[in-house]
Amino acid sequence: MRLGDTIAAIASAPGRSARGIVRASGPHVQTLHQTELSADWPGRGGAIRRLRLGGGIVPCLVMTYAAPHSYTGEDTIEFLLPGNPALLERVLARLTESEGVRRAGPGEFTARAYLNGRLSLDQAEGVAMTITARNEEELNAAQRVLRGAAGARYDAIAESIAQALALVEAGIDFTDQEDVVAIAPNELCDRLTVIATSLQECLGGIPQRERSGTARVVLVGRPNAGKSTLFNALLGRERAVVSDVAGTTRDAVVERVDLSDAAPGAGEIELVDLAGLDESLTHGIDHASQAAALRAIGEADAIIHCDPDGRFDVKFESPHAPTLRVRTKADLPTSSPMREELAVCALDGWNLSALKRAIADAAGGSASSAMAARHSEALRNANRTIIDARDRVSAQQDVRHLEDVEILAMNLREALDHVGSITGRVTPDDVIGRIFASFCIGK
Amino acid sequence: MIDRFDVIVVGGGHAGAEAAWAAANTGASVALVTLDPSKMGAMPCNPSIGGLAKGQIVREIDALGGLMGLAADATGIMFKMLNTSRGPAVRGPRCQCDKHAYAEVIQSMLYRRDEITVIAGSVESILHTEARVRGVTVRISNGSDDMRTLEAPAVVLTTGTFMRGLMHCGEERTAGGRHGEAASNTMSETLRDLGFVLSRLKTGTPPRLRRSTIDWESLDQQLGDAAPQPFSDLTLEGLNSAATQFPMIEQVECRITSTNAEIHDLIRDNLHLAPMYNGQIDSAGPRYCPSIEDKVVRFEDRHSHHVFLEPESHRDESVYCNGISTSLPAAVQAEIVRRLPGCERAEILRPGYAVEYDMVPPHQIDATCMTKRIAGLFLAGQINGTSGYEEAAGQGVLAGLNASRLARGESPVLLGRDEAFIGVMMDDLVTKTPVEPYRMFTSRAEHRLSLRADNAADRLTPLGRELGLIDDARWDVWTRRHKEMNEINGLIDSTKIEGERLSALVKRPGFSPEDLVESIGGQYRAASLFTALTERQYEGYLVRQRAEVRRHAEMEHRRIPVGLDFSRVVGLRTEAREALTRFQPHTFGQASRLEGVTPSDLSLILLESRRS
Repeated sequence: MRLGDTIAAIASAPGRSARGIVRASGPHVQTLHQTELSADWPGRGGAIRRLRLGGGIVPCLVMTYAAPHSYTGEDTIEFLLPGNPALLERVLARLTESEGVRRAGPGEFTARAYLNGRLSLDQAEGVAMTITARNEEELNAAQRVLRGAAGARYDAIAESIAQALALVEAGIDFTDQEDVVAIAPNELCDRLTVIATSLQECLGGIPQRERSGTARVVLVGRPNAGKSTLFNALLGRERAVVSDVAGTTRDAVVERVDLSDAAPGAGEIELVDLAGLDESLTHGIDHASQAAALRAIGEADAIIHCDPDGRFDVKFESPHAPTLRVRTKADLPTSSPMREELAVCALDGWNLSALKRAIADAAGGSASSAMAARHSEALRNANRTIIDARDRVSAQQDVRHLEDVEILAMNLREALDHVGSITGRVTPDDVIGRIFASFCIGK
Repeated sequence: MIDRFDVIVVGGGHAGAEAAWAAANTGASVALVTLDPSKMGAMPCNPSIGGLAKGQIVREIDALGGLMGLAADATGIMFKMLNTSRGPAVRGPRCQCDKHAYAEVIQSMLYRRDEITVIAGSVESILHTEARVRGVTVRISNGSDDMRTLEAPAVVLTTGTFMRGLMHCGEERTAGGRHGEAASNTMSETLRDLGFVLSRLKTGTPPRLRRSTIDWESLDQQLGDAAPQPFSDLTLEGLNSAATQFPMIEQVECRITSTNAEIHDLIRDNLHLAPMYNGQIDSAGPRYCPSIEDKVVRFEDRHSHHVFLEPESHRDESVYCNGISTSLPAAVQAEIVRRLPGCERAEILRPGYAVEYDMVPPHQIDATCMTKRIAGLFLAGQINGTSGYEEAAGQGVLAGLNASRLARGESPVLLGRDEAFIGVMMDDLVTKTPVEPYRMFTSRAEHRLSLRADNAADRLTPLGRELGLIDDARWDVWTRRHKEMNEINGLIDSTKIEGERLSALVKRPGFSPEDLVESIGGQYRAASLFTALTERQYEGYLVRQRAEVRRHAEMEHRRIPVGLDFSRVVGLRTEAREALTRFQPHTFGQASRLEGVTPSDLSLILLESRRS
């Protein structure tokens, strides 16, 4: 939470809809208007403008509100665009690249509105509740990521940056110690290269919603868990081949499903039946299908884990997507403890509407999709800073002392803070601790 | 008998001396109460001032009109600028002092001030009305047991290692704050009765050897800088009354020896006698100042550690063994020393020891050193869990200044993380849970590039002048420097050399102050040239950092209403609520640095603070 800078966010409901809105509020809005639309700030008004985006031009309706006559009480701009989530995300990313503009935190537009006297106390109470709920949601989403495979990779990156920083700082704060040898330029260069490579690998692994724009929901479960039957029930027609013999389906099946009958305003999702590919995860026979299944899970916006016994003992998880535990074949008796969030019977359609609503919530889970965007932004920034630092070091490969070690330390600290925004901040004290662990400090 | 003062300072160490001095500079009448005035300004551990990050603090104290730089310049016996092969931001001036001369200079400076009354005695109680301090009662140290009541609206406690101080030398335990000095046992109880939570820390010191019994000439030399640089700008201008020339006293050299496998085995065999290892001490000591026992145990693969032999004074034969701080029994220490090359016949004048002492975990103070529980009661130095003369002195300046301001009904003054290392230290103290005595490192400061030793006066002296800390002599020095820097900057901007702008040339790697002199001519002080050049070389980064500071300024300095009940803030998570309740941050900036507080939590407090 900061004041005095400019915040931006997608202001329309998540998912595909006819119209989408990207909103920005704060002191840089007039500059944004100038640079992004090549037009002077008009004060209050609305006009069709041409927004430059990645070499192309996107026509959009731009609404402007001059302070204090806006929702937030600050200068505000709204871009009204076609409701394609990918497009909205690109516009938002473009805005937040500008100096002084950043993604808004939960409830921040409203918090500003309140602070600027634009909201009543009652309305503010509502805001507090919203902030709390969104914060909880985001923290949970973040926890899911950190517990998963990606979390471990982020932790490893944070650790390797912290180690590099510790070695650099040791050469600054502890040069009067016999045991401390400042890190050699070529060793530091190698370390930074490794860090940059891992950052780039992580960046590649974050689901790129820009690709499709429609949320992908993947059905997973052990063989004969009733996935295909559920798939057809949700689809409302026969698509996947269904049989009682395990392993009947062998190809991934993707269909668009409209959830709006059960969840008004939810729109369409892409429903994926891994079609037996996930069975390779439990049996591990076929590397190619195993990889395909992992990729599909990794790219999912939500996962429906089907288990007719309600045990859910096989793990199908994605760092970026929530998992919904569904006990299928609810018409059959089960003796195990029920660990499901929802039970359905695809044959008679029992609870299907509830499932659709749950899917809409999970897939539209703005927290996880917003988080993926924030994470990739943080990793991109870290990557850029690390590469700067590496270039700086590689220019001095043959010197004994790094000339500008304090600048390098600053670069590394910046990169560490970017990654720390995902994994939790690594404080200067933590870094100093690493120095004490590696060197015998103290006369 | 009742005496009234503006400020009472309890303790005459580095925190207490600076607190009394700063309060006196701002015109307050000060009572300095200390057990033994002849020990004011004592250096019970390494008689060294400054170093990496600490040197920056000394320069800041000097820029705020403090004592430490003046006294160090007047009594330094070996000066060294550290990190000269690194960038200007991370260089740190350091010196070793003649410890007897140092204490003497501090004492004479304090005695010379009419505003300061030194009272020998021990504080028996802290007087207060409700939650506001009124004064102290003092048992006078003249054997008569006379009690005196001193009244003041502000009291600064600087207890150092004296609160329930307990010294360990092997199994031998002696109550006391320092070698040969009694502990204060009543103060801990007094503070507990006032509702403060106390904790315990430990620190240690190495043995001292008799110079004439060391085979001095056989050992490698350690020399200071050929051209020593003073800490204080006053010394540089010949205006330091304690140092009419510089260096003031004869310079010394140090020698270096080292431990060996035999010594390490000896230590390992005797670990059961070391209080840190046999459970006799369980309080936390500093990781950056490990005992030799620690080093041997934790770094098993090292078979040798350096030991620096540093003379402590021209007036006695005492040599400080930098590197073998220990609490092993005296007999084992003798065995260790006997095995150090060059020290085979060395006589131990005083064995090393560890000392445990009470402190007040600093979540109980605010960033001006005032306690949150009792208005007007300030804590400074080791009582706040810091270590080091410089860290203590820095807090002393801030506490003395604010005590004096409080006495006059003026608003508190604090230093930001972007203004001074002292600001970084205070902010860290009031937002973090300490695990060991706090010591400054340059890496703690995110604005390290601007918090340099060379520009301390530029950063702080104008503020100090405004606050009344800076006398006319110092202000003249600053004004001259300021004028020079403007001229130099003007010349850098206007000069062209062979068609190239000097302002571009100065940013090239390797462009030195000498090159600058050659380019612009004139008679300028080396220090002014150095700073002007450094500012140019860091310019891009400094501009970016300043923009960043401005962007955060509104939230950073926004006050959280005093006494805001965090349990009433709708929607705060438990973790955030607990952290906020414990630390009671005064600003949103401080709150944002508490562990467990998210930006959303700040939004919620913002909404709540707006309402109340």
